[in-house]
Amino acid sequence: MLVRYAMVEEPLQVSPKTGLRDMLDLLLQSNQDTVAVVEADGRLVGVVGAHDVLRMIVPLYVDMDEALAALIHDGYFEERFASLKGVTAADIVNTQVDTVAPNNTLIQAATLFLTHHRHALPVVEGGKHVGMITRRSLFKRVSEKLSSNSG
Amino acid sequence: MTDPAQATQVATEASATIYWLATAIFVLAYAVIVSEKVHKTKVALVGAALMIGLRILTQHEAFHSEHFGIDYNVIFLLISMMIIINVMARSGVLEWVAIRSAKVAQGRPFTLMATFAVLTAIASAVLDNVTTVLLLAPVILLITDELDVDPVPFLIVEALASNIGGTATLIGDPPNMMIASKAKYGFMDFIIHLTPVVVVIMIAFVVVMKVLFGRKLKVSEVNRLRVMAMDESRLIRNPVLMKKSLVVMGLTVAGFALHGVLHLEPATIAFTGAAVLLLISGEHPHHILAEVEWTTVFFFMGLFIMVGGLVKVGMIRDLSQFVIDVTKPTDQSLMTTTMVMLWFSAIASTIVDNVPFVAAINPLVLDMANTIFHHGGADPAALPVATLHHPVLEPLWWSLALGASLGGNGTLIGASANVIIVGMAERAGRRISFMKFMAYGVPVMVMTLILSSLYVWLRYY
Repeated sequence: MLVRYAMVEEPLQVSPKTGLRDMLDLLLQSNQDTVAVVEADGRLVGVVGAHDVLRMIVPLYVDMDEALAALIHDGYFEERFASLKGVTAADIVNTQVDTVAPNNTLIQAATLFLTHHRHALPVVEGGKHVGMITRRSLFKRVSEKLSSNSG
Repeated sequence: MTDPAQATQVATEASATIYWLATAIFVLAYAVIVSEKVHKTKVALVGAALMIGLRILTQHEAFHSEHFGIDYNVIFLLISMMIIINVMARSGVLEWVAIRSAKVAQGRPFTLMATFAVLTAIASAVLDNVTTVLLLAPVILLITDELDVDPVPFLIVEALASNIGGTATLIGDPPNMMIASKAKYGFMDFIIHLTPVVVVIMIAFVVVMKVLFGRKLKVSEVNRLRVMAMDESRLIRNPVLMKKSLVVMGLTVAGFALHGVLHLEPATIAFTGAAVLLLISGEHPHHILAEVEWTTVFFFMGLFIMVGGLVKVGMIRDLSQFVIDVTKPTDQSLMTTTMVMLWFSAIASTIVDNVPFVAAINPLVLDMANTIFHHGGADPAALPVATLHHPVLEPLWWSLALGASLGGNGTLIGASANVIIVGMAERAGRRISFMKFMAYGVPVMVMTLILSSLYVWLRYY
């Protein structure tokens, strides 16, 4: 099977100008955790996931010494989250993103999920964003296919 | 039959070629290191390979001669201390002490800044400066974030204090280890000659900080209480390993101090400490040894061989003669030479790494001592301790140590601790520009050098 048959049915997509709050609403209303940031001409800028929002909240010194997180006051997360009000997709978009092509095989996508610790991969064809494949959509389609074969 | 005169001439020409070849290799390598275009370890190793490959040094001299080759006193002291420090660092003890100190300072920003400066200086006197700032800078970022104050002054003070503190002891800074090895000084010699002036410098440093920041730093009561509420016990990752490493570190430092009784060299003491800690740590040696900064160790090795080549061809002897001609030392007083050494070392160390600088100056001092005290008649590689520790020569060693270490404060590339701090600040979103660092660094460097000059003058002249 190829990637084009295992994509998410309704992929999430926003423009670089979309606000963080709107992006989060979009994510929370779906069962996905990654949204593609796409220019008006369909060119993929990158993706925004829960990881990128956490990156804006967790201070970098905690990366240097994880134990320090235990000493930060309760309420810090909420304060930082509130301070992200004016942030747009363009501010936090992760542009260092792996992509797959619609006619890549599932094992190629699966390899990227595993070795690059990705949960979702944008599907790109001719420089344009055409969809998204997630760990979940991959398993869903494969198991659907297996049950239809056996049935 | 060959004409003896002709043979001599051929030999002289050959040695002249070798002389300039060795000099060219060294100068070129030094220039590339300063340019930072190629990693300094690569440069030092290629330079060393050339010194041996072009037969400027024999392999035996490079690998086995203390004078022309690798100084294993320094190499083993360095590796052993890295092992002990890495194990200790992993336990979280320094971060624990830092939070404790912040609470003792009651979260008051200036008291906190001064406390951190003193803590950093003490830690750097025992640990290496880079490890100290790597461990303390994240804690500073945490506390300044919780207090909602600008972390930049705190970070710069941290780097400066680390370089000052490292000057105080034999193990505080690699140049001191190198000087100790060549001048045959023990741990207590550094405590007696350098620690007092470093203490004075630290006091002056804190006073300057008070003038600069005393009024500017303000925090709200709520934020201050946040620091007071921190539970530092959460930072201790491995209490058992912490105790073991602290005991070994304590015994190692005690071993250094008991040199007069034990008559064991610092490298032997540190090597024993590292071996014992590896044995009792309960960890696989692979993990502990992997954290030794081999890049630094190999840099030293390459550097020693390169300098060895310069010494062998006589370049260092000529430089030493030049310094003698200019500063006119006598066997009664080296006052001018000492003061020039202090300031020249400092200025050189603001631009170049103080390690290659001291590596090249050490043999120069030995050669000068040979000329001044033995009229060039002795072997500079094996001067008697009476000459090395001659009261007239002594201030020159201490001036070299003070200048090379304190000079590192001048610019952000002057010392590794500065580079680390600036890198961390940048990662935390606070860029410290070259000029901004200098605005703090240069005045502090000049002040510490003036105090050092006064100290050297009052104590030795």
